[in-house]
Parts: sequence; structure tokens; C-alpha cells
Amino acid sequence: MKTSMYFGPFGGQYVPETLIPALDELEEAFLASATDSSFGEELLTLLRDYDGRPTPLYFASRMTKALGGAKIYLKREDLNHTGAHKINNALGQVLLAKRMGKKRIIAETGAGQHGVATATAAALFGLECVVYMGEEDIRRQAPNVDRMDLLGAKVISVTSGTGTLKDAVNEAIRDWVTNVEDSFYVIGSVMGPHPYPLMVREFQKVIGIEARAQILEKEGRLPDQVIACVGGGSNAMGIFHAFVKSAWRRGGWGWRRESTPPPSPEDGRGCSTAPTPTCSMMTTDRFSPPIPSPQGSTIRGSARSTATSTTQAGPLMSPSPTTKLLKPSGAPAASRGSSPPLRAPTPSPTSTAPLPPCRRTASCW
Amino acid sequence: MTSIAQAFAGKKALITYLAAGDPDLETTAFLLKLLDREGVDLLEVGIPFSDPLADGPVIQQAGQRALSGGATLKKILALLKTLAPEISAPRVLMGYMNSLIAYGLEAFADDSAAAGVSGVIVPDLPFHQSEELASLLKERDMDFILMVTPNTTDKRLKAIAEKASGFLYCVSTLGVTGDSANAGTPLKEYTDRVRSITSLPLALGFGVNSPEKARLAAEAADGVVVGSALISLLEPCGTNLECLEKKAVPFLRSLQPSLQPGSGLVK
Repeated sequence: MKTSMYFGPFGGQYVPETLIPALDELEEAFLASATDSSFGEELLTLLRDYDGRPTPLYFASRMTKALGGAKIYLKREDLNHTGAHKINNALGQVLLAKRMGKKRIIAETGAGQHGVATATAAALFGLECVVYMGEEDIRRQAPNVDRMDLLGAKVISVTSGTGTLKDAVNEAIRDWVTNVEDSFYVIGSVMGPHPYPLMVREFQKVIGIEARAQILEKEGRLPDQVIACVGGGSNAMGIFHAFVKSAWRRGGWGWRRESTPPPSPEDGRGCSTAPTPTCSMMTTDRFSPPIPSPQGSTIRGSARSTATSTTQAGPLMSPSPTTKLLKPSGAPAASRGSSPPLRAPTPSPTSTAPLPPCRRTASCW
Repeated sequence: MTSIAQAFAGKKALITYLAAGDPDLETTAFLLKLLDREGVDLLEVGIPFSDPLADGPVIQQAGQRALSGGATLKKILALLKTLAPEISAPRVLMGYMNSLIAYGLEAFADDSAAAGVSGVIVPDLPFHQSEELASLLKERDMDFILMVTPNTTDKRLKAIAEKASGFLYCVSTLGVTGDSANAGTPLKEYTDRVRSITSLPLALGFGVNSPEKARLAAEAADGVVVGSALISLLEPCGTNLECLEKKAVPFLRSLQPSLQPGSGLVK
């Protein structure tokens, strides 16, 4: 390994030995691309001319008024081509795959956004694309399945395990183990073995770079808070990365969870990473590695919107020893500045009541 | 000589894999004793896990049956401890890192040693991250068994062989357990390359599902691992002990002669 595999105590490579040569090859190609100006130029051109970047930073005046607290700006990643931030990463990874001479693209998808983005990028470069998707997710997200199909990708229904995102990841990795020599696995979030978390953050950090410049232009100052939802954490790391250093200088950097409390694993329907209810909205979450049930096996996430039913967030989302852990906004930490926190509705699920559904970004405030 | 070294001494070793607790621990206890009595040389005992990345569908489903049946690592270790005086073949635990982290690595090493476990295989723990577990096991005289694959480079093979003990688990193909379709590198060529680097015994596994495959594997290696094929064979029996015995015994007896050189089956 040429770079650190770890973020604080988390990260690493927990995969079968067969994949190690592929991860070494990937790390080498990724690091080379980082210093290759022709790669950077080609990607920037794609992001501008194909994807439609930069995305606007929009002042949400009615939401600001309705909530009566902070001025709220929305970074409109939904206006990217294919409708989500996922394309930033997919274009980066598929461009890398093409340069590595890989013939075949593999991806997993939950709600289908990453699958659609990867299918789009693969079609753009004329590469074969196979997308693994849980059978239940296929049923729930039929329009995205149709889009992938139209883009020429083969969508494979995953029936093993719980038939959801984590099983789609497992099947994608099994495919990769079997076809490791000619295939490139495009992971959609800041998770998986090194170098994926690092690489996905690098391909997503354009969100924060733009947002930082845009808020400085509009407000002449940095925001008090940057808020993102977390499934695996790619859009969160994408926007946070550019703000972290400034936040340190202001002494206000920390992780805070804005979420419903995690249901106990025993009731069998919780978002499974024990301390991390990944189906909830957060100002980033405390993350620990996926040790969901007392025996270490994962149980299925409960989110009704598959987009957020990952069973773990990535290692970058984990608190390092130097990270300040802030209390949820319902009980602001004393050391926190004076700006009023945004309050998330926090219904307390009981073992009999259904969990509140996780909706898309804006509706979960 | 360690018990694992003995399993390979003077013969080709037959190694079986079962998911502990599939479908319940009593059945596993019965099967482990049966396999031992039938002359299996080394018993791999799988710790069921929800996301077994190195395994194919047969072992994943076996793991799910075991988890639904309430198997936990704690119960598995307790079972192995109880069985230790009754079984002569060495027991090797095979499980994924999450299960071990959840249990606590030191506690796992302690309790495995107390249960008479001879070695541990963790298919998703590449050797460059294995220092902590490897030394915990070594301190307790247990072997840390590492895997190599046909695409492992010579440089990495050397590094792995230095850390491994007991035997080297040679994954026969690029693929997952039970996957016999992917032919890949000729076995002999592969094991010759590994032998040029290490003197550890070599066991070949992944996709060995017939006496003929076992014969080919035994020609190339010092031991052969049979997992998915055995589990598929026994699965329909459920907890019916008589049925399990009826199916397991002829299967094992069909495999054993094909492993040994000089037997009529070796062409």
C-alpha cells in the first residue's frame, strides 16, 4: 500500500485474498491519475459538459422563513445529469477503468441512483455494464431498473441473503472475485476496501469545493453548519471535505447525529449498524464499523426508501480520536456556538410502531 | 509436531468444511464425530456469518440456516470444548473478521485455545492486516492459516508464507467456494509455484465436488478441502441423523481412495 488505508481506527481491506492484486492495481492507477493532468482535465470537461456542473447553490427562502432559524441554502446535486450526485463518482471511476484497459464494469445499487449513474458512464465510454440489485429493491424502484436497461446495462436480481443493498454488494464482490482480471468494480459510496473510500471522496469533493466558493460569493462568509444525509456517506464527505479545515480553525468541528434512536437489533428491523441508524438524517453520524448484531452478522436495514438502507457508513464517517463528538441538536453541546441548531423531528420508535420512513433530503428536516 | 502437521504426515489429507449450527448445533456435533470416525484428517468448522464474501451460495445458505437456528460463536466454542475429548482430528475454525471483532480478538483466541482449536482461517483478513490476530494465536500455540490464490504474486506469496503456519490454503480458482466452473490455472502449475516458495503443506479447496476433482487436487497438493459438495449432499437430511450418516459415509469413502497415490483410482 502506498497510501494510508485508515481513517482513525477505521478503514482497511477486509476482502478475500483474490482481490488484493486488483486493489493494488487500482490504488496504483488511482494515485497516478491524481497527478496526471490529462486525467484531471478529461474529468473536469466531462463534469462540466456532460454532467452539467457546477450545480447551483440555491437560497431556500420559504424554508428559511418556515423554520425561522438559520438562512438555508441547498446545494442542488439533484440537478446533475441522472438526477443525483452519484454521477460525479461514476464518471471518475469509469474514466479510470477505461484508462486501466478494463472491459467490463460491475456495480451494486440500492435505490438505483448509483446503478443509473454507472450505467450512464459505462454507456458513455462504450463499456459492458452489470448492475447487481436486490430483488426487493428492483420491485420498489422499477423506473430506475428501466433506465439502466435502456442504457444497455444488465441488471441482475439478487435473491441471496435479505435481497437488498448489502446482498447486492456481496454479489458484486463475488462477481469481481470471479472476473477480477478484466472487470472494474465501481463502488457507489465512501465504503468498501481501500482505496475506495479515499477515491470516492476525491471524486465527490467537487460538491464541497463548489459549495464553499458559492457561499463565500453569496454571503461573504462560511456557513455555521453544513448538513448532509448519510447512507454510506458519499455526498456527505463530498460536501464536508472542503469545509473541514475552516471548521477546525473556528474550533467548531464535530460530528453530530440528527436522527431517530437506533432500534434494538433484537427487534429485527433496525438499520443495522448498532450505533448508527443509517436511515436517519444526520449532520453526519458517529460511525463504527459494521458490527450490527451481537454476533457480528448484519441484519437488514429498515428504511422504506432503499436509498438509505445501507448497513454501514464508510470509515471516513467515523470519529477519529481527534474528532469532537457533539450531542444531538435536541440537547446542544455546551461548547457549541450560539447559533440555534436545526431540529429534526425525533419520534421514538417502539418495538411495535413502524419506523418513520426515511424520505429524500429536504423532507426529513 | 503440531496436530495440524500430523494431519498431513505421510498421506494426503482429507479436510471437510461444515457450517457450525447448520441446521442446529446438535446435528453439527453428530456430524463432527461422524467425520472424525470416518477418518477425515482435519475438520474445518465454519462460523456462520450473514455476508460471507468468499463463499458461494451453498455455504451462505448453510450459514443462514445456522444463524436462524440460533448459532453464535460463543455456543460454537462451547460445543467444540465439549467435543474436544471425543474427536481426534484437529479442528480449525473458519470465520469472517466481523464475527471475531464482535467477540473480541483476545477473548476469541483464549476461548478457541480452551476449546482445543488447532488453527484459525479468516478469509477476509488479508495477511497485511493480520498481525494482531496472528500473534494472539501464536501465543496460544494455535496455527494461523492463510489463503493464497492463483493471482497472488510471488512477492506476496513469500510474505504470506512467512506469516502462515500449519498449512497454506490454496484457493483453486478465481471465484468463491463451491464454484467449480472456473477452471483457470492448471492446478499442478499453481501448486508447483507455491511449493517453490514454501515448505508448508498445501491444501487445495474451492470447487472440489467429486472423487475425480479430489484426485486431481490431491495430485497437486498435500490435502483437499471439501465443503459445498458435502453441505449440499447433507442439506436435505435436515436433522435426521440416520439420513445424514447414510449420505455422508459413502461420500467420504468414495473420496478417500482417490486422494492416496498408489491406489487403483489414481491414473
